Amino acid sequence: MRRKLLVFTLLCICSLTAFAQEKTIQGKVTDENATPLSGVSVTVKGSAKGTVTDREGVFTLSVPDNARTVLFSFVNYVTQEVALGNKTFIQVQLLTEEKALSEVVVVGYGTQRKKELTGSVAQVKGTDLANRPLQGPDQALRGQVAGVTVTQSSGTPGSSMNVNIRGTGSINASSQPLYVVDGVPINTGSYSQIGVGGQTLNSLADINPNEIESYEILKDAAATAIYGSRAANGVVLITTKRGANKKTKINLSTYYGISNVAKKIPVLTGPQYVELVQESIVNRYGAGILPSAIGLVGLDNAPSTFPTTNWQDEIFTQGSVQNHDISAQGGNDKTRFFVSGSYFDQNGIVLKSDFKRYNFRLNLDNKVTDKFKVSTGIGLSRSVSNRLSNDNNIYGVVSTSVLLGSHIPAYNANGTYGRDPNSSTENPLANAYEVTNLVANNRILANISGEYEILKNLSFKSLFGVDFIGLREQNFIPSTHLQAVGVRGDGIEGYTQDFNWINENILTYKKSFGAHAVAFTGVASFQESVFESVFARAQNFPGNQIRRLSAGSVRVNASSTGSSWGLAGYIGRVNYAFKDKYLVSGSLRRDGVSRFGENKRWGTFPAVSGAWRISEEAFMSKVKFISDLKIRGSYGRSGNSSVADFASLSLVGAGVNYLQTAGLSPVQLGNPNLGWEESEQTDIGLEMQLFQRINVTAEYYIKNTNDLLLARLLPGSSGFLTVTENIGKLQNKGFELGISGDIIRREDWNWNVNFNITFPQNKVIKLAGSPIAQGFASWVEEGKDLGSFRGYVVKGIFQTQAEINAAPVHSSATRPGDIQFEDLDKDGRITANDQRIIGSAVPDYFGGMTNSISYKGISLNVFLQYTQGNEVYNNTRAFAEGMNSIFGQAASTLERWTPAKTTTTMPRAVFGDPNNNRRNSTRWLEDGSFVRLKNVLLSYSLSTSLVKKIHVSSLRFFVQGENLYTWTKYKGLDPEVSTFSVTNTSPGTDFLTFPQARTITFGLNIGL
Amino acid sequence: MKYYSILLLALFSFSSCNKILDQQPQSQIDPADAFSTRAGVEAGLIGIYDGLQAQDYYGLHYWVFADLYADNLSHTGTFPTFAQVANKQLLADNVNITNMWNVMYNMINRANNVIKQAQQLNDPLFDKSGALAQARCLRALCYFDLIRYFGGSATGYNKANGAGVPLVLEPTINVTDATPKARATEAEVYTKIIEDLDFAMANLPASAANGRLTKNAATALKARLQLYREQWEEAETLSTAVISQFAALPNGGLVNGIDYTNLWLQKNAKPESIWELQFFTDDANSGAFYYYTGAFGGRNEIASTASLGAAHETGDVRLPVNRTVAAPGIPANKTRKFSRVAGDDNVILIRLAELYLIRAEARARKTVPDIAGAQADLNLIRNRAGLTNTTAVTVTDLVTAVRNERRVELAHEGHRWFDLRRYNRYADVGITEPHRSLFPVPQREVLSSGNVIKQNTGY
Repeated sequence: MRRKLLVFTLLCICSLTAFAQEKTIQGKVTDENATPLSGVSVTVKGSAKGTVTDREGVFTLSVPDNARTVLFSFVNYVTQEVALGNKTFIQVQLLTEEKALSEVVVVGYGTQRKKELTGSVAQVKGTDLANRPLQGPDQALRGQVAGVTVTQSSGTPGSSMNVNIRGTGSINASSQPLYVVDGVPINTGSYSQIGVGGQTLNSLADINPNEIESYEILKDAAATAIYGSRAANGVVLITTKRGANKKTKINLSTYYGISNVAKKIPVLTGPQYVELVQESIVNRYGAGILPSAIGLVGLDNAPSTFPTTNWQDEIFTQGSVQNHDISAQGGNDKTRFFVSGSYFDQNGIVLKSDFKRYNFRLNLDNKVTDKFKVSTGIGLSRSVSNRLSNDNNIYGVVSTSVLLGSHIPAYNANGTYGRDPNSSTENPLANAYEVTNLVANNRILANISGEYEILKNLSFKSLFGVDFIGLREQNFIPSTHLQAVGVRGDGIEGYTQDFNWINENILTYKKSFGAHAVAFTGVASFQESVFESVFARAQNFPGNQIRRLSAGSVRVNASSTGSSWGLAGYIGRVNYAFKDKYLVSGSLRRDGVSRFGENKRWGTFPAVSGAWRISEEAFMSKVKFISDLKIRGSYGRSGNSSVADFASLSLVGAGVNYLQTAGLSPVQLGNPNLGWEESEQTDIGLEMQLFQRINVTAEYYIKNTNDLLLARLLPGSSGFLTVTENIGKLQNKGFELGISGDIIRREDWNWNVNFNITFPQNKVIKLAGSPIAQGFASWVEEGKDLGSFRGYVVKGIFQTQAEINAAPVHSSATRPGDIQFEDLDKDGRITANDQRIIGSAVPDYFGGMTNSISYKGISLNVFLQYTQGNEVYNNTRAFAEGMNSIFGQAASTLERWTPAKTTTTMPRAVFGDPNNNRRNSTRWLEDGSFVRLKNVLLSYSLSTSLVKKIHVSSLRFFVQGENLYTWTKYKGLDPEVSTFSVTNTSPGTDFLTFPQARTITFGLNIGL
Repeated sequence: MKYYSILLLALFSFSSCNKILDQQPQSQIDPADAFSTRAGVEAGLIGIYDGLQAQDYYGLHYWVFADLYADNLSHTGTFPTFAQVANKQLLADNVNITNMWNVMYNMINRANNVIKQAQQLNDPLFDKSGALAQARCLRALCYFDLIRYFGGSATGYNKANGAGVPLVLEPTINVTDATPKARATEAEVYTKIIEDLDFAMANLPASAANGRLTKNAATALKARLQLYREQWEEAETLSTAVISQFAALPNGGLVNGIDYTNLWLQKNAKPESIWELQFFTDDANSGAFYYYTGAFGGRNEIASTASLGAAHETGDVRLPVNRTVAAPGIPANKTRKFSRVAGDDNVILIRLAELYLIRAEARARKTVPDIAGAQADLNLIRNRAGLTNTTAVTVTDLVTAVRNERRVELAHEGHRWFDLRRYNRYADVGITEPHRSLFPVPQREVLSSGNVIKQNTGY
């Protein structure tokens, strides 16, 4: 570090210039519409000499003979450099910063003009997402870009999103993209040590979407391979807002809103529930048998004597969301800054769930000299959330609201919680109110960089970045909660930190000569991430007032651990353009990662791409309606290294203690040949602009992931369950189409439509051996979709004993009213072999559509999100319609088979379910297609004249609604669901998952 | 000048690179280092014992399922995997059964590592034969326990063509060692178990800290094995070898009937408790948690059946232990053998009462039956429980009497199902398909071995 600073200092000293004879030059400066610009500052680069343009945009300036470059700068316009050469008259067109920005996209280690791109890069502007109640940047991307699947696992505040760029690219390793914030690849995922159910924490939720200027999604290998070993799942580049050479503008933005649950599952009343239980016991054990005969307490009385509690009504509540954001943005030609502070506060639609976030950011750029620029970006955040136990958990709030019978009162007469004496399912209200589950995360995302222009066309930039996460968790279960009655209070505290630093050194060379333009980028990159955690648990507390571990008398656990990884990469990239018409690019990255075996530590990731801008050809000049046309293609290889830090080593672990004595045991079988998971991607794209108002991008891609980092199953008799190996192949291919256009474009009347659609295909080509069962009914098998479901196939309901006798053997206890399953292998018995693939979570197509309509100051944005042809495995119904035990049951069970009601698809109620009617089968598989009115935003901006009267520069009011309506056949709470949170192999499974909220907010933006 | 700077920078970069790529684990170690010292091997030995504590083994499932797949326990909870056991409709992908198999083999691998490394270790302070004896005895127990569920024949144990399990006797060090091994025969597995137990009996100390193996524990386990193998004479000899040490004590060394619950409520009741798995609140099991109802901090997954209650004769002091009556701090229909929801109940792996019952049965069933001896052993157990002497006089009646006595004496200790298998009486608990006498080999094992490890017939 110290040495690095010394180098900067050395670099700074080396910029001295000499002067000689002078000559005179003249010129004219206009804007993009050829309107003359007056007052533009014209200076000789590297000297104090300068002038300004007159009313006609004309200037005259005498310059030294050896002067090479002239700078043109003007407020709100992009500073332009013009090479002098032998010219004595210079015609210059300045672009507004806004316009210039719209033509530039951020790519790996630099920026490029859109028209020069040879790879697949999609851009989403922060301004397009302004004012939506978004929790984090991943949520923002949903439905915006073709080829990007964003699935919100649940409505849990602060929880995770599953983001896949061009399909799920891995089976065991991560399939999430690499996120790079202002050049720093950041840590993502959950850092929680305390399991509370399927829904995990999301460290991307620390980032305030309002600080983001743009998102660039790098999709094909030409764009991603420069990130080498981590790029196989695509890259999301996040660029935060920076200052500009203009008067300081202060923006105040605020909204407040309320949210509610969009749907509840209809459930039985208390009497209906008791009737069902009594019937199920008679069906199993014979007429006249009462529940008490099999040990069930308190269910013998007449059903009508029981009360009804609708637990979902008890736990769903009106949530709220608010955000207050203030920022200042400005600067001059030397120094630019952006500062912002914000507060985001979300209360979930389930009792006692919330997420609060505080963000601060300072982005500063200073030109020390004409050749030397320093920059910094410092983002601080603190997120605090109250989590709930959730999903597959008998203490989960949403789960118990479905699983606890409705015949139990919410509270007993003495004020204690009503509880089912036959069940360990806790009262949902106790789950919500009694348990403390607090998470507080402090995060620093900061970088400093210096950029020095060594020679004309050659510059060097060095960047240091840090991503620091410090997450504290506190969990306390009081003795008033069933989970801790026996241990008299149970407390856990954990602290986790991750310090991730990066140093990147970037050399850039750009030169044009005649019709040729060449750009070269070389990078040396070093990154290290060091993880540490401590964990402690105590039980047996003196009452429940003191909730810290100091009060627990039994110290159950006190431990700490640490891990780390390091990465070194060397990168070269060359871009070449001939006449701006024929573009080629090649890049090569060599990466070394500590995670892999000694033999396979280094990998090489090349990419080549080319584009032909057909519209620049002379023969196209007659085709007036095509204003821009480009064909591009790319091929390249990128890697995935996101496996456990020491996956290649054989390891012996501790913690296997006995008799209060420490033990050791083998925990991992190593593989010294463990290396990258490699993905090879081919992409062909067409970009077209019609009538200067409709943009079409169509792309076809094939992504083959080879050498999958797969946990190959070992027979348990070896003493190990898996070994991580590079075996297996996965293929994702698809067609993406994006169309955006201005349907109406008038002075005060605009209508813009932005539509995207993706047709994905995914197939597991090769596995390590046997298929892999995952989740509840998920199944990974060669030749099938990753995300397939497997199970039995329902044939119908047995109506008579004769039918049962004639059918394949189900079980000795099968009776009329039970389900008949298909005997797929025709062996006369229903066995494990009678299962097959019954569906897939991979959709036929998905996408989004945004309509933006504005009339004068009024604008309306309507955003639809859709997915079609995917299945959801509704495991919630496997419990709520199981009719086999003491779990609460859905109202749909009123349709159950009885001798009097035989025309139904719902089987009979039978305690213990000896026919296993509720086994994994097509019964629980549902169409997960939906179209969602994701967001509607109506806003009104006061006219300039009105605004002036109240001494502000802009004022806008808005009202918006999120998740307003969902068209779906899905019977569960929400078709966009994943009980396993971020998962490659078990997507699209619903199990008692917190649904997304319907939210309405009101707000305003003020510019000062 | 400026070029030097870049060069400097490049040098810095390259030199730091190797350091960045050389990261070391902090919470695990290289196996080559782990077991190369006395401390390492001794810690490895502790690691084997720890395997017994797993929830899928003696922490819970092993002994629960032996009563739940029979008639001592009913399923009152919500786990579908438990429902399969209670319904006697096991599927080969039952995750509890899969994990049970895996945990036992994981423990076998721990033992194989220690056995191999201990042999190579030369440290004068190292008790090599003692360490080897413990490791081999623990390995023998695992193999016997695997056979009890997954092996044998539909009609019992040690019959012709009985099914064994894969016999792995070397540690799995690298991937090639993990190549699937086909199932050995039941007889082959017994041969290895006996070798290990004989070594253990010869090398284990007469006494050790609570929870550690002793010579008596190994002898008692071998007596149990020979009972299963219907080697009556040897079963008698082995049980006598232990019993005779305590014959002079009141009750033949058994705890007084009035103190019967102390076997569990107080721990390590010597000499009746021969080998007892030790648990603490910070190294706990889930026994009581699975029995007890929500109000007592449990999850009410299992309860004692009415049929178990009815198996007790009037006045049996064991009835309130095996099937509780609600009282302050005690839920109804549970057991006193597991009462600490915090998880620090010990699990008795073998005790003197079982040896008396082994000997009673062996004496009754041996070639030349010793009716009086069998009656005496049985009566010792009955009298302690507050019951009068047995009325059984014929071999058949004595065997029936011992069977009932074992059900009551050893309830909640993981014996019932295996006894029903031994007596070929699976039909007593409603099983009509003979193949269900053996648990299915985990589907995962069959698939991941490429069918080298065969499924039990019928599944």
